[in-house]
Amino acid sequence: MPDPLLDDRPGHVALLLGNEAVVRGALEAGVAYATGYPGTPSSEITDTFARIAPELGIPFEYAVNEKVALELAFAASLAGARAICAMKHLGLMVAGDPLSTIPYVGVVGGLVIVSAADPSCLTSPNEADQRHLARMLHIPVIDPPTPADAQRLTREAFALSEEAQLPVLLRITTRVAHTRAPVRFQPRLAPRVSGFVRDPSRFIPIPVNARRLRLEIPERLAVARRWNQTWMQRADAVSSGSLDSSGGSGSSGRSGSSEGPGSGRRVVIAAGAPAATVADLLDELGATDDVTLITLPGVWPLPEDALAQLLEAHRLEESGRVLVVEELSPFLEDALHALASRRGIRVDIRGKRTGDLPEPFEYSPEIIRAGLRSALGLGMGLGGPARDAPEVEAPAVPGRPPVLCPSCPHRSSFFAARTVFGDEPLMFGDIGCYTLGAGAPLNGTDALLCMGAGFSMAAGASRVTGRKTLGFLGDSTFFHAGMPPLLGAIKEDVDMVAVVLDNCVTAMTGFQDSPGVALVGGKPERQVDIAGVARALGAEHVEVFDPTNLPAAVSAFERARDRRGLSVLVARSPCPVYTEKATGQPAHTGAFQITGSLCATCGRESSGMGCGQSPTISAQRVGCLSRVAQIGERPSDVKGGAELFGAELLGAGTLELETPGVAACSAACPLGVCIQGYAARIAAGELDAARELIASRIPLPESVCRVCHRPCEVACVRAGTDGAVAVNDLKRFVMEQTVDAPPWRPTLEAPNGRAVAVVGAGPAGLAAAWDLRQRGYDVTVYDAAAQPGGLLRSGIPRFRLPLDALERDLAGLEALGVTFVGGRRLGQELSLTALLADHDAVFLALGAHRPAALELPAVPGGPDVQDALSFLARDQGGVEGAGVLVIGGGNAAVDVARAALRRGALEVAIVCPEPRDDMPALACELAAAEEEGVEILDRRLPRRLLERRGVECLRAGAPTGDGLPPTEPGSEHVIHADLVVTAIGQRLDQTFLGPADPPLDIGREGLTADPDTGRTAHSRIFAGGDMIAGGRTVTGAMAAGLRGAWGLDAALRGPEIADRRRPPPKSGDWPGPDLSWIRAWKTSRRLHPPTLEPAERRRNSGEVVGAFEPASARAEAARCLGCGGCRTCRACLDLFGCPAFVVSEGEIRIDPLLCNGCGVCAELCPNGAIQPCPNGAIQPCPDYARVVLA
Amino acid sequence: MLIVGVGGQGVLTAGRALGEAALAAGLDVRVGQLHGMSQRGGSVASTVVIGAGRGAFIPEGGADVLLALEPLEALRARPRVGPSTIALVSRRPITPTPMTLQGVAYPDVDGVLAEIRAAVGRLVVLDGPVGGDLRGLNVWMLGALASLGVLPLPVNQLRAACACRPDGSERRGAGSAFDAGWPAPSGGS
Repeated sequence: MPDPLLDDRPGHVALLLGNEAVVRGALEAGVAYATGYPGTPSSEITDTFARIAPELGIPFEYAVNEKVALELAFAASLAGARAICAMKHLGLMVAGDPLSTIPYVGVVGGLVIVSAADPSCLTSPNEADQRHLARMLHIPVIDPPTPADAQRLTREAFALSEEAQLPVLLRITTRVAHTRAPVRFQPRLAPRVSGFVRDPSRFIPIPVNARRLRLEIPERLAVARRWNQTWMQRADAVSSGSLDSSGGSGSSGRSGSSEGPGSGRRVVIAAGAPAATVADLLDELGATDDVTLITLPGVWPLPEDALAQLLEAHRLEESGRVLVVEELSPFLEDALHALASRRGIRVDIRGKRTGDLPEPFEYSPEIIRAGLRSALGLGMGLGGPARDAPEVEAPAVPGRPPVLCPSCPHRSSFFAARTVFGDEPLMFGDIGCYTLGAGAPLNGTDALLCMGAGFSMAAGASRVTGRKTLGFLGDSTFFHAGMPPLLGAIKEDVDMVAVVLDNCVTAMTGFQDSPGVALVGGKPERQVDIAGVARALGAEHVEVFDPTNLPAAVSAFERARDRRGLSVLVARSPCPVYTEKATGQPAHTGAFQITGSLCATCGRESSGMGCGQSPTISAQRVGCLSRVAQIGERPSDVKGGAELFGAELLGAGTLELETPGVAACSAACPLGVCIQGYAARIAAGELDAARELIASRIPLPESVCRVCHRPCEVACVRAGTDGAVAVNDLKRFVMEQTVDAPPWRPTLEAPNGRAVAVVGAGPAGLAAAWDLRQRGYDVTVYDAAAQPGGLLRSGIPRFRLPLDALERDLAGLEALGVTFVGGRRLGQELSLTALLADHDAVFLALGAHRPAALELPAVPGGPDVQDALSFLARDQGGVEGAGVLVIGGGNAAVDVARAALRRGALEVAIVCPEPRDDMPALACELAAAEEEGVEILDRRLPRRLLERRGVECLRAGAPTGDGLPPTEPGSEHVIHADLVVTAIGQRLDQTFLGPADPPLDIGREGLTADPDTGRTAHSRIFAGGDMIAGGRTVTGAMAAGLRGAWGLDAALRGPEIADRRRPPPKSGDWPGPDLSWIRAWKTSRRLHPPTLEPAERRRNSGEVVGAFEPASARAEAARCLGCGGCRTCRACLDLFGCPAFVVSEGEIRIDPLLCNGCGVCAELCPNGAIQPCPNGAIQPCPDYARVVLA
Repeated sequence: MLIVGVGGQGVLTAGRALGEAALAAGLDVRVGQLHGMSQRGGSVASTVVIGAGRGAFIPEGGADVLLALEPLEALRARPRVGPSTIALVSRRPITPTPMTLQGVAYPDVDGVLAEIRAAVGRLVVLDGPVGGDLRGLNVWMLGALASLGVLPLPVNQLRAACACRPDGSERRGAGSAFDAGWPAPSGGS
């Protein structure tokens, strides 16, 4: 069966698009060569030729661009073939160079250039009027009003072209190109090529020839003018009804050129699509007898004599009136004014210049009706059809703009680019499907101009701003106009990223092939390698990646970001829509779904530890990057989609995970701080939000960010490989950076009328006070010392915790309304009984101040002995020039040793029973001590002090697990020391309890209290911190204070009220994270903040560890893999925006009917909530509940 | 006749089928289609004008039939409908992607339909869709339209046009989708 367009039955009528009618007209003219470049609204012309050319036996090709197309067609014409080339109006400008000389040389075979205009900019960035270009360049213009006219006038245009020896511009508009109407086929002429006949004086327009040829042009135009005049005067020049187009039946008998000019006093001169509308309106208004309609099929050159005659007949003196109806510029109208002026005709010409018709945009019947009324008075006396009455106010209907399709690889590319580069760099887009990447949420384009400008504008902007820019264009556009600007950028080594979005087809205009892939029978052949072209042009950094392999795309953009100069990235992934169209097989199979219990949910919330923050774009990008880092680049032999997320790669069980996990670091943190949250905020540059996450969970953040024992860093997933994230240093960074900002303050409950006495102003007591104030209690904190801080003030040296940092913490507490009373020692100035009388409850946090006893009896002439707390309580001095031996392996021992050095000790050593690497002290502190010159004498135990400043020690054997290790007999040796400081722990000082006080249970480890509630044997006495058995860490003591405050509140006001603020769960009580997604991550070593030079430290007792610089902090924070769930996430909507996402009943879901199963969203979902639908279990969304899937 | 819907729903195919059926019945007809970028999930409209004339415009308030494959798109077409319009509207909403991304809820469908009902002469709400294949919605609705007996062309011509691709091959399943829409659904008026 022949192609419908080649149906040669006599009188056959087919329903053709205007564009198809052009093709049919060309076939009827015996066209022998066709080419063009696709562009809406012209694309169906080239597409139809592409379809029928093989059957027709004529050559056709999609040219690389319009300039090439015109040159190809011109050569065909010189070779004696009738040739056609098609393009949109913008393309005619691209072809401007050859276009301007062809009229000089003239044509041999008829040459018809179809250029489709786009009034109202329906699919274009402008509505330029090509008629001016044609006039400027001496090219006749034909402007058919209907598809049937397009067919006939195309046929005629070839003859005109040959007779006038000029190319003919067949200018159609969207309305003609995309209206389908009956077209009656005429016989086809056989394609013919007469052959190239040399004519150098004409075909070589060097100046001497050009000057001569220039003088021939008026004569050629005169030929065209005669054609246009004949057409204007022929009755059947334009159809009066679509079926009537070839002289068939059904004439409506409306007025037209057949009646000859001048039969009425009012005349409408019209051309193009509006002429058809005018004809229909005159019919409808019954005005065909009153008004003459003259339709001009050929609008340039003007049939001046016939028109002058017409104007003459409608002179002003005879109350004549002329209305010109044409879209876009007043081209004809101005020409008629000039004609009337030259011929001395006084005539009232109405149109755009007189305001009767608007200049811009396509003409609707309403617009023309208004013009007929205002210019000619038509339709006024008819009572006015109801439709002309005040227009119905158009309801405000939410817009439905086109968007990139589900599974479009361009979405991945833009997502990856913005995620890696952030909002800052300028991005330049181009013309193609990917123009849709300009919109939210991808925001992949800051400026856009025309084909190829994505690269040239990126280069220009980079050169003047000195900053890296990105340019995006598609594969077709790369060949069309992208190579020259790329070459220029290579030559100048512009600091930019040139991205070719290669989807292997010209998708936007309807899936035409491009030089990148010549499609033969739907299969790619003769591929041009874009990366190879870029390398051949001289680009040094060229990468090809599959954008649907998101980790690969992100890595490629990161490498381009991190190098200076030009990078070329080829994001290559075939258009999935085309793949399915061409092969009948979908690009991906299956669909993805969102597990609601994982989506935007936080495993901390069930423990009352949620954050209440809102998602931000930057922090979500950080989350996506973390996720991508965990997924890792997939092997090249693994396809995306369901295959990527198949069970064997993921490990079974992923789908069963129903609760979001809590990151290992948070679970290990005694205070349950959301570490991944503040790491993400730091990486996103959102320090206020980061500080809120820190300060809302840590009562004394300035202190903790310096002295915490960092169980988080032990738990960090990266700890075993390239180093745990520097959690505490990041916290410190936030506090340093926001030190001058208004302090973050918690919201306090209204006063509840109850008073609590807290005894002990150390970490546990202050934490309890901080929490109780937030619960609305009146809180007074008593301490034996004159100033609050406890161990933080007296037991931690200043080079670890400077006083001003502690003071800032204390000021924060004071601002909450915590009252501090110093110099009151419980058991002396203060009695428990009295406190109970004055307060509703008492919270005891006395700490542990009684040094553990070490049996080292003093000997005359032997070393002096002090305990660590006494030593550290002194600020300075006392050991100048002395040798100091510290006994103990914990942090207190290390603190003492380091403090001794700063206080002038000559030599400092630590003696401890454990092997060095098993010492309980923090590794980083121990290393710092060694740097400073502290000697570690491990695996030994002191036995006794000797005269002449000696300490006798024994070597320690392997630890037995309980108590001190055994000593090795005969291993006695002597170490010299002027001062021995014992740092082997402290016990509770029990002297606080007076005889009249209520009895409390005090055991070997300290006061007995419930570690979860702080409850003691007395119903109104609670306790926490070092005075009860515990971890003896600052952070652990604070957690105990928080738990005690909760226990106290629960006892006084009931658990329900107390539970409005929950204490941090203990580490085993959190849901663990799902780490099954984590395959690998790019190794990046842990970064460290600056520290004081070890040699400096003896002279400078300032803080040893400095704070991160912002750039380092952001980089270090970005190392966090974000392995826990997060509620502040809408990344799939806020950053990715696939149309397959729907929001139903407040939950984000994936419409299985729209999802194409590419799985890119699953690669970026920070919560790992997007997973493949199990086979056969695709669940329709509620919106589509009525859909029964086959 | 005005056919409206969302890119991918087959609006242009439905318009063309009506045009081909009219032509086969010996009627003069023009089919207007505005597409381009609208294919990618945007609004799409097609006009079918049967009878003498040249253009494919539908004047304000001038649609005799509105075939809307989506409720919001029906509302968008309101300026072209009037008291003489018979409207067939699928009540299955498709939320425009920007609304989803911005967290704006789709308007109440019954409210949308009430607005359309107030603007037209007769409203037929179609509860659709077709068994399994949403891509058949356009043809199914044409079947429903044909069953109303208002089209100036034989039903079998329209059915044949629906079942035929441009290249003359058979569009599988279209015939049964057309039949499924017939007789008139009881969706109320």
